[in-house]
Amino acid sequence: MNWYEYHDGILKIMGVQMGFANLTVPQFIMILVGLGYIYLAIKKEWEPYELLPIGAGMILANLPLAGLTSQPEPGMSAGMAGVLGIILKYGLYMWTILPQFIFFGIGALTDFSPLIANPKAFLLGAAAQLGIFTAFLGALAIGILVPEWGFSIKEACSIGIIGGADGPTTIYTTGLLAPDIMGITATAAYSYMAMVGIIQPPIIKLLTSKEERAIYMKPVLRKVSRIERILFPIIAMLLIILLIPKSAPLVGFLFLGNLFRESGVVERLSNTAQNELINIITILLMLGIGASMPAEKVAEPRTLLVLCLGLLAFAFSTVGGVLLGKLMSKFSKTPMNPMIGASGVSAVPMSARIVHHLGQEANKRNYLLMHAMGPNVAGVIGSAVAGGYFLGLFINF
Amino acid sequence: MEPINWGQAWSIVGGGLLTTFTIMTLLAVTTNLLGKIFVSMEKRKEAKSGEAK
Repeated sequence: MNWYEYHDGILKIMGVQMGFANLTVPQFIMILVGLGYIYLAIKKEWEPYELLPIGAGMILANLPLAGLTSQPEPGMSAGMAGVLGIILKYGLYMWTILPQFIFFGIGALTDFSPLIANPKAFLLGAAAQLGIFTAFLGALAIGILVPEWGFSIKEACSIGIIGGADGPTTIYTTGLLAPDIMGITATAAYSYMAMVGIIQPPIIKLLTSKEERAIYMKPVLRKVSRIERILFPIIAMLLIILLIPKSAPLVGFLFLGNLFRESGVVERLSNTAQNELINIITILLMLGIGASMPAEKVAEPRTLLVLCLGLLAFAFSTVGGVLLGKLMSKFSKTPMNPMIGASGVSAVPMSARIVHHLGQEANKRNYLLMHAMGPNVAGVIGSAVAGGYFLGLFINF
Repeated sequence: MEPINWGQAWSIVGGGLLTTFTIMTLLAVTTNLLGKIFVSMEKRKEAKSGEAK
Protein backbone atom coordinates (compact mmCIF):
# COMPACT_ATOMS: atom_id res chain seq x y z
CA MET A 1 0.00 0.00 0.00
CA ASN A 2 1.51 3.30 -1.04
CA TRP A 3 1.05 6.67 0.72
CA TYR A 4 -1.83 7.81 -1.50
CA GLU A 5 -3.80 4.54 -1.16
CA TYR A 6 -3.31 4.69 2.62
CA HIS A 7 -4.67 8.23 2.92
CA ASP A 8 -7.48 7.52 0.46
CA GLY A 9 -8.55 4.65 2.72
CA ILE A 10 -8.39 6.85 5.82
CA LEU A 11 -10.52 9.50 4.10
CA LYS A 12 -13.10 6.88 3.08
CA ILE A 13 -13.29 5.58 6.67
CA MET A 14 -13.69 9.16 7.89
CA GLY A 15 -16.45 9.73 5.34
CA VAL A 16 -18.38 6.74 6.63
CA GLN A 17 -17.70 7.06 10.34
CA MET A 18 -17.24 10.74 11.10
CA GLY A 19 -20.20 12.85 12.09
CA PHE A 20 -18.89 16.00 10.41
CA ALA A 21 -18.83 14.30 7.02
CA ASN A 22 -22.41 13.13 7.46
CA LEU A 23 -23.95 16.27 8.94
CA THR A 24 -26.87 17.43 6.77
CA VAL A 25 -28.15 21.00 6.51
CA PRO A 26 -31.47 20.23 8.30
CA GLN A 27 -29.53 18.53 11.13
CA PHE A 28 -27.23 21.54 11.39
CA ILE A 29 -30.26 23.85 11.57
CA MET A 30 -31.79 21.68 14.31
CA ILE A 31 -28.53 21.79 16.29
CA LEU A 32 -28.59 25.60 16.01
CA VAL A 33 -32.23 25.66 17.15
CA GLY A 34 -31.28 23.43 20.10
CA LEU A 35 -28.44 25.81 20.99
CA GLY A 36 -30.95 28.69 20.77
CA TYR A 37 -33.20 26.92 23.29
CA ILE A 38 -30.26 26.37 25.64
CA TYR A 39 -29.34 30.06 25.30
CA LEU A 40 -32.90 31.17 26.13
CA ALA A 41 -32.99 28.81 29.11
CA ILE A 42 -29.65 29.92 30.57
CA LYS A 43 -29.37 33.56 29.56
CA LYS A 44 -33.03 34.64 29.61
CA GLU A 45 -34.19 32.01 32.13
CA TRP A 46 -37.26 31.28 29.99
CA GLU A 47 -38.78 28.08 31.34
CA PRO A 48 -35.31 26.60 31.90
CA TYR A 49 -36.64 23.30 33.25
CA GLU A 50 -38.29 22.70 29.90
CA LEU A 51 -36.23 24.57 27.31
CA LEU A 52 -32.81 23.35 28.48
CA PRO A 53 -33.56 19.60 28.17
CA ILE A 54 -35.60 20.18 24.98
CA GLY A 55 -32.62 22.00 23.43
CA ALA A 56 -30.23 19.27 24.59
CA GLY A 57 -32.58 16.61 23.17
CA MET A 58 -32.67 18.43 19.81
CA ILE A 59 -28.88 18.54 19.64
CA LEU A 60 -28.34 14.92 20.70
CA ALA A 61 -31.01 13.60 18.33
CA ASN A 62 -29.55 15.41 15.35
CA LEU A 63 -25.94 14.34 15.73
CA PRO A 64 -25.30 12.15 12.71
CA LEU A 65 -24.40 8.48 13.19
CA ALA A 66 -24.88 8.73 16.96
CA GLY A 67 -27.94 6.46 16.81
CA LEU A 68 -29.46 7.94 19.95
CA THR A 69 -32.94 8.04 18.40
CA SER A 70 -32.91 4.47 17.08
CA GLN A 71 -36.12 2.97 18.38
CA PRO A 72 -36.19 -0.63 19.64
CA GLU A 73 -37.65 -3.04 17.09
CA PRO A 74 -38.39 -6.77 17.32
CA GLY A 75 -35.28 -8.76 16.40
CA MET A 76 -32.92 -5.85 16.97
CA SER A 77 -29.53 -6.77 18.42
CA ALA A 78 -28.93 -5.93 22.07
CA GLY A 79 -27.69 -2.41 22.68
CA MET A 80 -28.64 -1.15 19.22
CA ALA A 81 -31.56 1.03 20.35
CA GLY A 82 -30.68 4.55 21.44
CA VAL A 83 -31.76 5.92 24.80
CA LEU A 84 -33.75 8.74 23.19
CA GLY A 85 -35.38 6.21 20.86
CA ILE A 86 -36.47 4.14 23.87
CA ILE A 87 -37.93 7.25 25.56
CA LEU A 88 -39.72 8.21 22.35
CA LYS A 89 -41.14 4.77 21.65
CA TYR A 90 -42.30 3.73 25.10
CA GLY A 91 -42.77 7.08 26.81
CA LEU A 92 -44.43 9.01 24.02
CA TYR A 93 -45.51 7.18 20.87
CA MET A 94 -46.54 3.72 22.08
CA TRP A 95 -47.76 4.06 25.67
CA THR A 96 -47.86 7.87 26.11
CA ILE A 97 -47.31 7.48 29.85
CA LEU A 98 -44.94 10.40 30.45
CA PRO A 99 -47.53 13.24 30.06
CA GLN A 100 -49.84 11.46 32.49
CA PHE A 101 -47.14 11.27 35.17
CA ILE A 102 -46.33 14.94 34.60
CA PHE A 103 -50.00 15.67 35.29
CA PHE A 104 -49.73 13.58 38.46
CA GLY A 105 -46.83 15.75 39.61
CA ILE A 106 -48.64 18.96 38.59
CA GLY A 107 -51.65 17.84 40.64
CA ALA A 108 -49.43 17.27 43.65
CA LEU A 109 -47.88 20.72 43.18
CA THR A 110 -51.12 22.64 42.58
CA ASP A 111 -53.05 24.43 45.26
CA PHE A 112 -56.62 24.70 43.99
CA SER A 113 -57.67 26.98 46.90
CA PRO A 114 -57.84 30.19 44.78
CA LEU A 115 -60.22 28.38 42.42
CA ILE A 116 -62.32 26.83 45.21
CA ALA A 117 -62.59 30.24 46.88
CA ASN A 118 -63.70 31.88 43.63
CA PRO A 119 -65.55 29.27 41.50
CA LYS A 120 -66.44 31.91 38.85
CA ALA A 121 -62.86 31.48 37.72
CA PHE A 122 -63.90 28.15 36.15
CA LEU A 123 -65.72 30.14 33.46
CA LEU A 124 -62.60 32.15 32.67
CA GLY A 125 -60.68 28.88 32.42
CA ALA A 126 -63.28 27.71 29.89
CA ALA A 127 -63.27 30.95 27.85
CA ALA A 128 -59.49 30.81 27.58
CA GLN A 129 -59.79 27.61 25.56
CA LEU A 130 -61.22 29.65 22.65
CA GLY A 131 -57.86 29.53 20.89
CA ILE A 132 -58.02 25.74 20.70
CA PHE A 133 -61.08 25.86 18.49
CA THR A 134 -59.95 28.93 16.53
CA ALA A 135 -56.65 27.29 15.61
CA PHE A 136 -58.52 24.06 14.80
CA LEU A 137 -60.57 25.93 12.19
CA GLY A 138 -57.49 27.83 11.03
CA ALA A 139 -55.61 24.58 10.46
CA LEU A 140 -58.46 23.22 8.37
CA ALA A 141 -58.76 26.49 6.42
CA ILE A 142 -55.14 26.12 5.27
CA GLY A 143 -56.32 23.20 3.15
CA ILE A 144 -58.64 25.49 1.19
CA LEU A 145 -55.91 28.01 0.44
CA VAL A 146 -53.07 25.57 -0.30
CA PRO A 147 -54.39 21.99 -0.55
CA GLU A 148 -50.95 20.34 -0.39
CA TRP A 149 -50.21 22.02 2.94
CA GLY A 150 -53.59 21.11 4.41
CA PHE A 151 -54.10 19.32 7.70
CA SER A 152 -56.47 16.45 8.47
CA ILE A 153 -59.14 16.88 11.16
CA LYS A 154 -57.07 14.87 13.66
CA GLU A 155 -54.01 17.01 12.94
CA ALA A 156 -56.14 20.16 13.30
CA CYS A 157 -57.28 18.95 16.75
CA SER A 158 -53.65 18.41 17.74
CA ILE A 159 -52.63 21.86 16.51
CA GLY A 160 -55.61 23.49 18.20
CA ILE A 161 -54.77 21.96 21.57
CA ILE A 162 -51.55 24.06 21.63
CA GLY A 163 -53.93 26.90 22.56
CA GLY A 164 -54.57 25.19 25.88
CA ALA A 165 -51.05 26.33 26.81
CA ASP A 166 -50.56 23.00 28.47
CA GLY A 167 -47.59 20.87 27.42
CA PRO A 168 -48.68 17.46 28.76
CA THR A 169 -52.20 17.81 27.28
CA THR A 170 -50.73 18.78 23.91
CA ILE A 171 -48.32 15.84 23.94
CA TYR A 172 -50.92 13.33 25.09
CA THR A 173 -53.58 14.45 22.60
CA THR A 174 -51.17 14.70 19.67
CA GLY A 175 -49.50 11.41 20.58
CA LEU A 176 -52.83 9.64 20.13
CA LEU A 177 -54.33 11.67 17.28
CA ALA A 178 -51.41 12.72 15.06
CA PRO A 179 -48.08 11.30 16.33
CA ASP A 180 -46.30 12.51 13.17
CA ILE A 181 -46.59 16.14 14.28
CA MET A 182 -46.15 15.55 18.01
CA GLY A 183 -42.60 16.90 18.10
CA ILE A 184 -43.67 20.14 16.44
CA THR A 185 -46.83 20.70 18.49
CA ALA A 186 -45.06 19.88 21.76
CA THR A 187 -42.14 22.16 20.95
CA ALA A 188 -44.56 24.93 19.93
CA ALA A 189 -46.57 24.52 23.15
CA TYR A 190 -43.53 24.71 25.42
CA SER A 191 -41.92 27.49 23.40
CA TYR A 192 -45.02 29.68 23.54
CA MET A 193 -45.48 28.89 27.23
CA ALA A 194 -41.95 30.21 27.72
CA MET A 195 -42.82 33.30 25.66
CA VAL A 196 -46.13 33.98 27.38
CA GLY A 197 -44.60 37.17 28.80
CA ILE A 198 -44.14 38.46 25.27
CA ILE A 199 -47.35 37.15 23.72
CA GLN A 200 -49.95 38.09 26.33
CA PRO A 201 -49.23 41.69 27.45
CA PRO A 202 -49.85 43.38 24.06
CA ILE A 203 -53.12 41.46 23.61
CA ILE A 204 -54.27 42.29 27.14
CA LYS A 205 -53.38 45.97 26.66
CA LEU A 206 -55.14 46.05 23.31
CA LEU A 207 -58.37 44.67 24.76
CA THR A 208 -58.49 46.62 28.04
CA SER A 209 -58.35 50.28 28.95
CA LYS A 210 -55.94 51.59 31.59
CA GLU A 211 -58.90 52.15 33.91
CA GLU A 212 -59.92 48.51 33.55
CA ARG A 213 -56.37 47.30 34.22
CA ALA A 214 -56.23 49.48 37.30
CA ILE A 215 -59.39 48.01 38.87
CA TYR A 216 -58.49 47.17 42.44
CA MET A 217 -59.37 43.76 43.84
CA LYS A 218 -59.00 43.02 47.54
CA PRO A 219 -55.93 40.82 47.81
CA VAL A 220 -57.60 38.35 50.17
CA LEU A 221 -59.72 35.37 49.16
CA ARG A 222 -61.84 33.41 51.63
CA LYS A 223 -60.09 30.70 53.61
CA VAL A 224 -60.73 27.27 52.13
CA SER A 225 -61.14 24.47 54.66
CA ARG A 226 -59.12 21.24 54.49
CA ILE A 227 -62.23 19.13 53.90
CA GLU A 228 -63.12 21.30 50.86
CA ARG A 229 -59.62 20.87 49.48
CA ILE A 230 -59.92 17.10 49.91
CA LEU A 231 -63.41 16.84 48.44
CA PHE A 232 -62.65 19.07 45.45
CA PRO A 233 -60.31 16.69 43.55
CA ILE A 234 -62.60 13.72 44.22
CA ILE A 235 -65.77 15.48 43.04
CA ALA A 236 -64.11 17.21 40.08
CA MET A 237 -62.44 13.98 38.96
CA LEU A 238 -65.66 11.98 39.12
CA LEU A 239 -67.73 14.68 37.43
CA ILE A 240 -65.33 15.27 34.53
CA ILE A 241 -64.45 11.64 33.87
CA LEU A 242 -68.06 10.50 34.02
CA LEU A 243 -68.92 13.16 31.43
CA ILE A 244 -65.78 12.76 29.26
CA PRO A 245 -64.26 9.34 29.96
CA LYS A 246 -61.38 9.93 27.50
CA SER A 247 -60.05 12.71 29.71
CA ALA A 248 -59.38 10.17 32.47
CA PRO A 249 -55.65 9.66 31.77
CA LEU A 250 -55.01 13.37 32.27
CA VAL A 251 -57.77 14.52 34.63
CA GLY A 252 -57.57 11.34 36.72
CA PHE A 253 -53.85 11.70 37.30
CA LEU A 254 -54.08 15.46 37.91
CA PHE A 255 -56.63 15.05 40.68
CA LEU A 256 -55.00 11.89 42.04
CA GLY A 257 -51.80 13.89 42.57
CA ASN A 258 -53.83 16.68 44.17
CA LEU A 259 -55.62 14.24 46.48
CA PHE A 260 -52.22 12.94 47.63
CA ARG A 261 -51.25 16.54 48.43
CA GLU A 262 -54.42 17.58 50.20
CA SER A 263 -55.10 14.36 52.12
CA GLY A 264 -52.17 15.14 54.38
CA VAL A 265 -51.73 11.44 55.21
CA VAL A 266 -49.35 10.39 52.42
CA GLU A 267 -46.78 13.12 52.79
CA ARG A 268 -43.90 10.97 51.50
CA LEU A 269 -45.82 10.04 48.34
CA SER A 270 -46.92 13.63 47.81
CA ASN A 271 -43.36 14.88 48.28
CA THR A 272 -42.08 12.29 45.81
CA ALA A 273 -44.71 13.32 43.24
CA GLN A 274 -43.85 17.01 43.75
CA ASN A 275 -40.10 16.55 43.56
CA GLU A 276 -38.26 13.39 42.49
CA LEU A 277 -40.98 11.90 40.29
CA ILE A 278 -41.87 15.07 38.38
CA ASN A 279 -38.18 15.92 38.01
CA ILE A 280 -37.33 12.50 36.55
CA ILE A 281 -40.35 12.53 34.25
CA THR A 282 -39.55 16.12 33.18
CA ILE A 283 -36.03 15.06 32.16
CA LEU A 284 -37.33 12.08 30.17
CA LEU A 285 -40.25 13.95 28.61
CA MET A 286 -38.34 17.08 27.61
CA LEU A 287 -35.41 15.12 26.16
CA GLY A 288 -37.98 13.05 24.26
CA ILE A 289 -39.73 16.15 22.91
CA GLY A 290 -36.44 17.64 21.77
CA ALA A 291 -35.57 14.36 20.10
CA SER A 292 -38.96 14.08 18.44
CA MET A 293 -38.38 17.11 16.19
CA PRO A 294 -37.34 15.41 12.94
CA ALA A 295 -34.65 17.40 11.11
CA GLU A 296 -36.06 16.64 7.68
CA LYS A 297 -39.37 18.26 8.58
CA VAL A 298 -38.01 21.44 10.13
CA ALA A 299 -37.87 23.43 6.91
CA GLU A 300 -41.23 22.20 5.62
CA PRO A 301 -43.96 24.86 5.21
CA ARG A 302 -46.33 22.69 7.28
CA THR A 303 -43.96 22.91 10.25
CA LEU A 304 -43.90 26.68 10.03
CA LEU A 305 -47.69 26.68 9.69
CA VAL A 306 -48.03 24.61 12.89
CA LEU A 307 -45.87 27.18 14.69
CA CYS A 308 -47.98 30.08 13.33
CA LEU A 309 -51.25 28.33 14.17
CA GLY A 310 -49.95 27.57 17.66
CA LEU A 311 -49.25 31.26 18.15
CA LEU A 312 -52.73 32.07 16.85
CA ALA A 313 -54.17 29.57 19.33
CA PHE A 314 -52.31 31.18 22.24
CA ALA A 315 -53.43 34.65 21.15
CA PHE A 316 -57.09 33.70 20.78
CA SER A 317 -57.09 31.88 24.11
CA THR A 318 -55.90 35.11 25.73
CA VAL A 319 -58.58 37.04 23.82
CA GLY A 320 -61.30 34.63 24.98
CA GLY A 321 -60.24 34.93 28.61
CA VAL A 322 -59.99 38.73 28.58
CA LEU A 323 -63.31 39.23 26.77
CA LEU A 324 -65.20 37.04 29.24
CA GLY A 325 -63.30 38.80 32.03
CA LYS A 326 -64.61 42.14 30.72
CA LEU A 327 -68.15 40.81 30.54
CA MET A 328 -68.01 39.36 34.04
CA SER A 329 -66.43 42.57 35.33
CA LYS A 330 -69.47 44.53 34.09
CA PHE A 331 -71.91 42.33 36.02
CA SER A 332 -69.79 41.56 39.07
CA LYS A 333 -71.07 42.86 42.42
CA THR A 334 -67.52 43.32 43.69
CA PRO A 335 -64.80 45.03 41.60
CA MET A 336 -63.23 42.56 39.20
CA ASN A 337 -60.18 43.23 37.08
CA PRO A 338 -60.89 41.79 33.60
CA MET A 339 -57.24 41.00 33.04
CA ILE A 340 -57.47 37.94 35.29
CA GLY A 341 -59.32 36.24 32.41
CA ALA A 342 -56.05 36.16 30.47
CA SER A 343 -54.54 33.81 33.03
CA GLY A 344 -57.19 31.25 32.07
CA VAL A 345 -54.69 29.93 29.53
CA SER A 346 -52.97 27.37 31.73
CA ALA A 347 -49.23 28.25 31.57
CA VAL A 348 -49.09 28.00 35.36
CA PRO A 349 -47.97 30.26 37.00
CA MET A 350 -46.43 32.52 34.34
CA SER A 351 -49.66 33.94 32.94
CA ALA A 352 -50.93 34.68 36.48
CA ARG A 353 -47.66 36.50 37.21
CA ILE A 354 -47.99 38.53 34.01
CA VAL A 355 -51.51 39.62 34.94
CA HIS A 356 -50.22 40.50 38.41
CA HIS A 357 -47.40 42.64 36.97
CA LEU A 358 -49.72 44.39 34.52
CA GLY A 359 -52.11 45.07 37.38
CA GLN A 360 -49.35 46.64 39.45
CA GLU A 361 -48.18 48.64 36.44
CA ALA A 362 -51.63 50.21 36.17
CA ASN A 363 -52.29 50.54 39.91
CA LYS A 364 -49.49 50.10 42.44
CA ARG A 365 -51.99 49.04 45.12
CA ASN A 366 -53.14 46.08 43.07
CA TYR A 367 -52.09 42.58 44.11
CA LEU A 368 -53.80 40.29 41.59
CA LEU A 369 -51.70 37.15 41.91
CA MET A 370 -54.16 35.14 44.03
CA HIS A 371 -57.12 36.26 41.90
CA ALA A 372 -55.27 35.30 38.72
CA MET A 373 -54.25 31.90 40.08
CA GLY A 374 -57.92 30.80 40.12
CA PRO A 375 -58.45 31.07 36.34
CA ASN A 376 -54.88 29.86 35.85
CA VAL A 377 -55.48 26.47 37.50
CA ALA A 378 -58.98 26.35 35.96
CA GLY A 379 -57.21 26.61 32.59
CA VAL A 380 -55.31 23.38 33.34
CA ILE A 381 -58.63 21.61 33.91
CA GLY A 382 -60.22 23.32 30.86
CA SER A 383 -57.46 22.27 28.47
CA ALA A 384 -57.57 18.67 29.77
CA VAL A 385 -61.35 18.70 29.21
CA ALA A 386 -60.89 20.00 25.65
CA GLY A 387 -58.17 17.39 25.01
CA GLY A 388 -60.44 14.65 26.36
CA TYR A 389 -63.25 15.92 24.13
CA PHE A 390 -61.06 15.64 21.01
CA LEU A 391 -59.89 12.16 22.02
CA GLY A 392 -63.47 11.08 22.65
CA LEU A 393 -64.32 11.93 19.04
CA PHE A 394 -61.67 9.74 17.46
CA ILE A 395 -60.14 7.27 19.92
CA ASN A 396 -61.64 4.09 21.33
CA PHE A 397 -59.76 2.47 24.18
CA MET B 1 -55.49 14.32 1.64
CA GLU B 2 -59.20 13.77 2.18
CA PRO B 3 -61.46 16.78 1.58
CA ILE B 4 -62.55 18.46 4.77
CA ASN B 5 -66.09 17.92 5.91
CA TRP B 6 -66.88 21.44 7.12
CA GLY B 7 -70.16 20.37 8.68
CA GLN B 8 -68.26 17.96 10.89
CA ALA B 9 -65.60 20.61 11.62
CA TRP B 10 -68.15 23.19 12.80
CA SER B 11 -69.98 20.59 14.87
CA ILE B 12 -66.65 19.71 16.54
CA VAL B 13 -66.10 23.41 17.38
CA GLY B 14 -69.66 23.92 18.63
CA GLY B 15 -69.66 20.68 20.58
CA GLY B 16 -66.22 21.41 22.03
CA LEU B 17 -67.09 24.88 23.26
CA LEU B 18 -70.42 23.66 24.62
CA THR B 19 -68.80 20.69 26.38
CA THR B 20 -65.99 22.77 27.88
CA PHE B 21 -68.35 25.49 29.13
CA THR B 22 -70.93 23.00 30.43
CA ILE B 23 -68.37 21.00 32.41
CA MET B 24 -66.65 24.08 33.78
CA THR B 25 -70.03 25.60 34.72
CA LEU B 26 -71.03 22.39 36.50
CA LEU B 27 -67.74 22.44 38.37
CA ALA B 28 -68.26 26.09 39.29
CA VAL B 29 -71.79 25.44 40.58
CA THR B 30 -70.73 22.33 42.51
CA THR B 31 -67.72 24.07 44.05
CA ASN B 32 -69.85 27.10 44.92
CA LEU B 33 -72.46 24.92 46.65
CA LEU B 34 -69.77 23.00 48.48
CA GLY B 35 -68.23 26.27 49.61
CA LYS B 36 -71.58 27.64 50.83
CA ILE B 37 -72.28 24.48 52.83
CA PHE B 38 -68.88 24.51 54.52
CA VAL B 39 -68.87 28.25 55.17
CA SER B 40 -72.32 28.04 56.83
CA MET B 41 -71.17 25.00 58.84
CA GLU B 42 -68.13 26.94 59.97
CA LYS B 43 -70.28 29.92 60.96
CA ARG B 44 -72.67 27.70 62.92
CA LYS B 45 -69.74 26.11 64.70
CA GLU B 46 -68.34 29.53 65.59
CA ALA B 47 -71.76 30.73 66.80
CA LYS B 48 -72.14 27.62 68.99
CA SER B 49 -68.68 28.05 70.50
CA GLY B 50 -69.51 31.74 71.08
CA GLU B 51 -72.73 30.79 72.90
CA ALA B 52 -70.89 28.23 75.03
CA LYS B 53 -68.43 30.89 76.14
